[in-house]
Amino acid sequence: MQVTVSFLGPLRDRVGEKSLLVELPAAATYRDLLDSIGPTMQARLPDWAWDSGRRSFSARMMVSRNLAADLRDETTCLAEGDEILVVLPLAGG
Amino acid sequence: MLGYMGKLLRVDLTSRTLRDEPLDPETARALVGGAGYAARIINDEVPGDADPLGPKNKLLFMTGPLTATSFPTTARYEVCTKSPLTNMWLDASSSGWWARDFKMAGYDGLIVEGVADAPVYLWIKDGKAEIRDASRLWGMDSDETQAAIRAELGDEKIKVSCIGPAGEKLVPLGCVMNDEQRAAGRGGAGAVMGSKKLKAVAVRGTMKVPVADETKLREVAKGLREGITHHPVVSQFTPYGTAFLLEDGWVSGDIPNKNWGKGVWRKGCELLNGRVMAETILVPHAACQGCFIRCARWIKINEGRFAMEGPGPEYETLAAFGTMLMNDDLAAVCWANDLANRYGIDTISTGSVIAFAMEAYEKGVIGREEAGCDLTWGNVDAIIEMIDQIGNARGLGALLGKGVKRAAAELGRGTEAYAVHVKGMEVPYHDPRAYFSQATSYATGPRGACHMHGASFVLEQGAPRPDTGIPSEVDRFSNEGKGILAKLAQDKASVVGSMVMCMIASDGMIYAGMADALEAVTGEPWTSERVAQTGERITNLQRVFSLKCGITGADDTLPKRLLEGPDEGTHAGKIPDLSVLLPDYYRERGWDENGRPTPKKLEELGLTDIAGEF
Repeated sequence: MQVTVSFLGPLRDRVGEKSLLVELPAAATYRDLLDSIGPTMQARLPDWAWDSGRRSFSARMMVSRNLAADLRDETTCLAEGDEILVVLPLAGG
Repeated sequence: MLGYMGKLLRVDLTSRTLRDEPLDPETARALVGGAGYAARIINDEVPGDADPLGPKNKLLFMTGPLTATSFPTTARYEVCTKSPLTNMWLDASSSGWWARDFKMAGYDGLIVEGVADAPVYLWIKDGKAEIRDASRLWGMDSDETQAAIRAELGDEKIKVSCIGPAGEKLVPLGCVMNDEQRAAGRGGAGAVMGSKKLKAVAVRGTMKVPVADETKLREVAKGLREGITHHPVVSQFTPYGTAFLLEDGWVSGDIPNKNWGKGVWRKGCELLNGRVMAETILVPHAACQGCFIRCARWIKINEGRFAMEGPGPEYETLAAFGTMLMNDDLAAVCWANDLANRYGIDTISTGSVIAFAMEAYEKGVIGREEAGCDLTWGNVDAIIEMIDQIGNARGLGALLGKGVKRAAAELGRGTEAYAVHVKGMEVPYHDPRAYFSQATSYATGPRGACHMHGASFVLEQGAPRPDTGIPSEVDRFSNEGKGILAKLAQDKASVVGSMVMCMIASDGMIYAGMADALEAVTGEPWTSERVAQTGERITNLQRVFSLKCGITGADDTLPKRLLEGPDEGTHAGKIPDLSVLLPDYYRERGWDENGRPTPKKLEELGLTDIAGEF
């Protein structure tokens, strides 16, 4: 199945792309997605965005699946066509 | 006293007299300057029951010790008065260049009292001030006024702070404008200026501000510059302005849509954000005086009905005339922004009252004949028509210009349910249902609902505050432990408003840095603890004035719309619980259960003299 990972705001500039289309096996979990994109994230994102120890987005990032509640549970099963939104929720103005 | 020019200019427009009076060093030590120093004067001199648009109200223009020094992002001033929109404390801050010239003309502040018998403006240059006839300026918009005064006085370098037609017509949404459409926007200071028949304050200054330790001040500034340059978010303000927030703020639910009735509007945010602006209509232009962040936008639209060149909208205005009204036409927002600024009306409140009117129109409370246009969501012609009506106090706009609280009270028929304000101040565009501490900050804000007086939501987003002990991870939807966040954000904002420096730049500073800057400029011993307590003292002083004006703890609340869960988004169904949030906040503040500072707290802050005044 295919899942889109969208990077918005400062993360888009860091990743260098607005989104990544990721191919995953059926019934893949959020953990599987993190493992799949981990090397790319490790290479492109700074420490404040990617936690190399946890092999996950850092705690400061906000991750949402299809704009539902904040995604934290790595055992969450993903589905075909899901959009995973990743933002750094720090703003003012 | 170093860092200050050492005197204030007091102008009585009734008697047309001007006099210099010395800056009080003890007040400056306790309250720094800006909106802090002004809070003392207004508490002492303006009766709580004064009519905001009457002769007993006073209007202050205040700088701080950092103004007109080499320290960046400090070309700011605070306009302070009793608000005609909220009937309580008001400070409104503006940037640009005016403040620098005003202070270099020899004054730390200006106190305007009384009412002139005909339109006038003030002309201040290097320690000399005079009252001049403004009859021929009356009716001009804010841009025209500035140009006319420069031409009259024959000096293109003159800086002008002024009102547009809205202020002249006493519209409570009227603001004070200066330079390239910079605004002391909120709360109706422009109407107070209009009530005094004061059209403008023109300044030109070449005097030097005495600084205790210029080398140290430059070192502190260097640290600030480096910190912001590497700050993952604040660094975004340079290429994209504050409008960058629209690109991703909708994911957290921070951005309101359709008069706070729609949780998410991705399409609108994707068409209105700072990146789109940078890629399409942004052109290079000067920043505010001495600013390296350069968040101010300058746009050029080459074709179409909204072709224009000039100052562009920032985040709040894009939300006001964009997402709040379901308008995704960026060029139309730019046009609306320019129009509102020329009339001199607060874009935040104006967007809010138009959104309110659109909802009332949708529900059949307002008809087409009454509105004078088709007030459907996203109709750019209607948006521009309503700005024109509000700016000129005509038609339905005359009602809306009074603010959404009074408009709903006059319209009735259930409209109060979607009149979104706190104490009469329309809520700015950060949704407290996405970050619960912001519910507290809005409900208790010194001038009503305000993100400039406490953007506590950034603390819930993990903004680093190593000087406060706040954990880096905070559950944004928890009602527990948010009182301290609101207090910290409000008190920091109070210090920023007294120094006077830019709120965005202050995101890159902790109390230690602020103490270093104050110490370098004044030569006084400043510590983080002193900065924190000064902020608390100012917040309490402003609160006391509002209590004298008649507000009570019952006014510390949120409008009905913000106590309903959003329909969609990551914050869907989330509702802050004020019955938990407010008692927690009062405890943190040392206030009683009715939101009144206790005698013990006032004594601790050195404010015992006002303990019996409310």
